[in-house]
Amino acid sequence: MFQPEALKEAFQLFFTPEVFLWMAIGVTVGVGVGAIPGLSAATGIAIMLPLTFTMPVAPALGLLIGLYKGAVYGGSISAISFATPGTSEAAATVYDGYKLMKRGHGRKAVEMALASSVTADTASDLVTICVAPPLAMVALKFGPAERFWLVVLAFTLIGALSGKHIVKGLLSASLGIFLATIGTDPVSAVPRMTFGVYWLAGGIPFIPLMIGIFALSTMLEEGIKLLKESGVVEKVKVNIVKGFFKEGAGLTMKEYLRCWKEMLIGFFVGSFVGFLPGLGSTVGAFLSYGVARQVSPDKKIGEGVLEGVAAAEAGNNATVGPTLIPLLAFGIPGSISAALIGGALMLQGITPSPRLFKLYPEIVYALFMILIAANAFNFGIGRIFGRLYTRLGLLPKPLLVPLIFVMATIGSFAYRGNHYDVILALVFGLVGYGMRVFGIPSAPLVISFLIAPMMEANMRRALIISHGNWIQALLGSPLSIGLVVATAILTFLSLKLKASEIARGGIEKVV
Amino acid sequence: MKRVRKWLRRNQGIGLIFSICLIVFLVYLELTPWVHREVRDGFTLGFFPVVGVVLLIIFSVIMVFDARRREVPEGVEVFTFKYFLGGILILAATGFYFTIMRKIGFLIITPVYLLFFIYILGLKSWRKCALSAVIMTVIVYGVFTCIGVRLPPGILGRILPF
Amino acid sequence: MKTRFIKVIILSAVIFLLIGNGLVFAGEAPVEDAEYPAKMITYICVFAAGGGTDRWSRIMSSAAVDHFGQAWHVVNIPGADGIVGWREGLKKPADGYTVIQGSTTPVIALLKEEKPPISPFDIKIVCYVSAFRAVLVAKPDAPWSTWEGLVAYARQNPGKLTVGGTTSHVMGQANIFDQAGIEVTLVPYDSTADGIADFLGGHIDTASATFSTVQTIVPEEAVAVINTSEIPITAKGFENVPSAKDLGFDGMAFPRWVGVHPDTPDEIVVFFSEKMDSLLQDDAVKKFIKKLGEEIIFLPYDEAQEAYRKLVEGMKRAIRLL
Repeated sequence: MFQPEALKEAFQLFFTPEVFLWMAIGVTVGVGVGAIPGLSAATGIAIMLPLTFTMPVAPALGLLIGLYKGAVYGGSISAISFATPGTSEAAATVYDGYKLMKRGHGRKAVEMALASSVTADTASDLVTICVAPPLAMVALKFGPAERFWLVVLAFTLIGALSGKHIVKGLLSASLGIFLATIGTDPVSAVPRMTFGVYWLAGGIPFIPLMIGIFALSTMLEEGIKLLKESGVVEKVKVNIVKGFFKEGAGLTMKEYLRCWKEMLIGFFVGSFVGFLPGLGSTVGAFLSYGVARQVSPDKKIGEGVLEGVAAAEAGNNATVGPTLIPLLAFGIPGSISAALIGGALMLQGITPSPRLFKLYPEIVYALFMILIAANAFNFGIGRIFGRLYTRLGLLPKPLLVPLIFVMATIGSFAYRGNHYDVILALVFGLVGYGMRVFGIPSAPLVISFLIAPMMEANMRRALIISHGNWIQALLGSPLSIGLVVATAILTFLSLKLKASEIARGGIEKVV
Repeated sequence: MKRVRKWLRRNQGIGLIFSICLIVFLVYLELTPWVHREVRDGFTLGFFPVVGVVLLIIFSVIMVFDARRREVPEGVEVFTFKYFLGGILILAATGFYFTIMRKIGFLIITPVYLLFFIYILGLKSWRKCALSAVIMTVIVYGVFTCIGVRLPPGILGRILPF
Repeated sequence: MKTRFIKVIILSAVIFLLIGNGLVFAGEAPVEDAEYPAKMITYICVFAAGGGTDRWSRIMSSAAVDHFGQAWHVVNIPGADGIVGWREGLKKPADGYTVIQGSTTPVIALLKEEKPPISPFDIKIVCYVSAFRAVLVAKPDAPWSTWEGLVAYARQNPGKLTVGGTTSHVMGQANIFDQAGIEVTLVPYDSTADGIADFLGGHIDTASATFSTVQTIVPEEAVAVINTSEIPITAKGFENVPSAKDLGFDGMAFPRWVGVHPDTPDEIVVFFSEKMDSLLQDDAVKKFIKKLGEEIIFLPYDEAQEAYRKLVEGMKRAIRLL
């Protein structure tokens, strides 16, 4: 399998000034695009794609991969600075990140996000290089039934994301399930639950939902607080210039090493999620965050600790490398990023297929070199952006709140150029604010909104394939049975954990 | 009356209100014809949405009876009608701002929106408000233009080249 | 108090001036008299940036100015499977300055809707630029790896054979199986990639995909059984794949169409169709389309309008099979 000749060629392709230049440009644009809510890596790549038409393959890959990685990191910068995840991958980072920001540790949190992303990403890339072909075979064993059970397994983690009052967490998850059913029936493609509104037939898009639930609701809460205060205090003294030059402390090596456990969890969970087609990096981030909370309840993840940021960011970035496995082995893009890289390769006349390793081994090696090198660029360039943004986050509230409102509004519009998305974002801003008032956590809603459609579609697919035989459909393979057992064990353990928490008084004041 | 209002602020009361609203919604769903339309694989079109609603009802009802039923959520404790009105107003203003922006352009309406918003949030100096509103508008417009996203140019689009 | 009053006056004056300006500009004389096209053409892509339709729009727009004398401004208006963008396009005047590029996805969505906001015929087709062919693939060693074998197997085991693909693909396959009088189980997928993954993993017996996807796994992992359209595949290694026409069925190809408001004057449609033809002959455009793994299948306005009418009627029939 390993071809030293091709490796040499790959080095020659990779070590050129153009590759490095375009990678730097890609990362810079990517961080900028990612940090703006509503604009994702896909938007950035669509904008830059015409540039790559005339480029050789290595610089083109450098530009696109740099852009992608920059955008994913950029998303977490704004998640931390303004509680506004710039990309969906960064949604899980908001919980601890924004709380750290409010306490003045924004820069630390952003640097932790960067450091854990780069660590998990590099590790997962290395694993991908070593074990790509055999793993691809395993990934194919996951059919509709296996994916269904995997999603059920993911659902058991909602308990961990539910906070103190578990019923409210489950209520939030149910709301997510309900919202996810709005749109089109996955089997017959007939619109359902749209109340006769035709533009809902495509379902509720995730970006406006997220902008509403996270950004607008947080800012609405802050805004309403300010409105009330401004009635009492006549003048709010604000020194804008001084605020901008105030800067928090950076991340220390010790703090970075302290989060090794969370990064390891993120790496394993993220890599696993990444190599199965169809789950996606947002699910990776939430799962890793949930597992980390489950594993070390004493670390108070969710109340604003670096460990929370590390778990979420490592979990989302560890999906990047493995997500390429199905693409490289069979030409099946397992995620958006893989589809984009596949598209870029095709534009260069290289079709991802089972022949890829045989026909263009040097391109595959160069691709991995670029993947790893882009991490280094991201680390360097990302730090500068991170410092700039966290200062913006320190703007006085009366300025910050309106600014985020403007950004969120045009961001949800710019996401697809569809004005209905703005309406949805505003509606979910109100829903999110209501949830805050009633003390209902938002994490279960977001995760169940993402995974409930997968659960429904895969279950129904499995049933169709087995011609309506439930047992054969859902328990037809050893892998499915294994996953059922794992789900049962995990549920039992988390129930036991919750019980012992209550017994220890970890959940205070149970009446 | 006061006692009832106080009781309604507890998780118990909230759960009860949720349950009633959701049950009304469920009844409405059951009465609509599309819910019962059967699709190719034997499920009805409304089966999964109804599952979602039923789950919501179950957990709302549990809220009425579980161990934390007597607690008042932090947000509800301080919540008044004014809060709700404030929230609606801000969102409505934002929606209005967006509608106008698409017609007459980002660069014109955004400073106005920002100006009033910043002012009512407590920065009580018109000059500072105006200055920050204009600066923020220009920065946002600049950033979006740099990365190639064209914000609604509106009427200025006919005189300015960018 | 006094200064505040002055400020309010100034502010209102500014707002008044701006609105006044707007009215003046809005009253500007339209450029109707000039020969078409006299200004930039807005090109609505009804899917999100980064997708297949979007790439077509952008590649074609890069050469537009050379052929039309005016540039295209590509606008992505996705949502509700493309209906949102289509509808936005219809709201604009029927002067040929707003063009819509779509596919069969919004057409299917409209046919599925009980009370559709527009009709699939609310469009005047300018041309087809390409078309998908739904190609059925099977594992090389399976008894259904040839059309004859598949028919024999399905006759013996009605409904047993599973066929996966996206809604349009499944529809294209159902159309053929219905005409052949055989019964199979159709498994719907959100994306072709998911369907192909399940096919390669052995979870479904056959999968339907476009030619560009199929050529990535044929011949190593799969063989092509049938091309359900009437457009033959000329690529090497695919000469022997029977098409719907070869087998005597009414095939269904899924076009990428370009259209305008139904009230647009015919001379503009003819002009646009001709220019599109020359644009698609452009070497640079040809090269990039080929690199995307797609192919140019151009139909001028008269043929495309006829084909579109036939397609919608065929889909109305096929949709009942799902």
